[in-house]
Amino acid sequence: MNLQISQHQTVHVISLQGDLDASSALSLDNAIKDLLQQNVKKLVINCRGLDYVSSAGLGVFISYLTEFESKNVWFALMGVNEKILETLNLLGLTPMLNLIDALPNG
Amino acid sequence: MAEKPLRKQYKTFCHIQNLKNIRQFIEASLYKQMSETELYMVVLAVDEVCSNSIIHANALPPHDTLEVSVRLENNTLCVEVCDSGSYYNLACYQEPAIHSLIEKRHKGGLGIMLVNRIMDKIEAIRHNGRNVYRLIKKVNHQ
Repeated sequence: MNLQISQHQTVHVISLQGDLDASSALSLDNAIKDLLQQNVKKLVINCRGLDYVSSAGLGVFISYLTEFESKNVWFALMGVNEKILETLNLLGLTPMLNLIDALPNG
Repeated sequence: MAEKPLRKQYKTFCHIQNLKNIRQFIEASLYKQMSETELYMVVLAVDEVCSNSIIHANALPPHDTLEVSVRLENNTLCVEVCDSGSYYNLACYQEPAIHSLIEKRHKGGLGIMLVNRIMDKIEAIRHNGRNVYRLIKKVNHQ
């Protein structure tokens, strides 16, 4: 999996490409951890290039939800494909995650 | 005339980097045998069981092997994952509540939950010193 971090105005974006599985979830975990240490307030995971997500990747997303809330971080998943959406639905995670199609302004 | 059953086998070392190869084996074996989404879900279920064997429950050493076999007959898919780690009965897994995982900031706990939702039946047996995890599902043949 390829991971790139960029900034668009006040929004920090982690763009993922390829497969997010048990072998690559740690790099996403570390990237989110680093950005939280930098006190980012808006974080988007760009999933447009993501072909596959296993529970290891989903586990990283949900393990930070409480921290995002306590630190007042706005968090969203952008461009989730249909199969990944189906996976989120299977676990009932969709209502707990903010799914967006495009980056917010500002 | 009854359709010939599909049978494929794959053997690899228990290394986390081999998960991608296992997914590709399942995809190639079952290509055009079911819908794309159904195949994606089956690949996901097998990946979860294999990663569970490699890194979580059984923590298998990298030189150990993992065998995956696929059988499709009369619209019934049976995937077997065979390892030699300590026995873990997937079929008796108690699902945690998602809210509890979120509150406790747990990263694990979702994998077997996914397998249970994707497959119709999961069996775990100990045979000749090896664990066999059998995943069964009725599929809509294409």
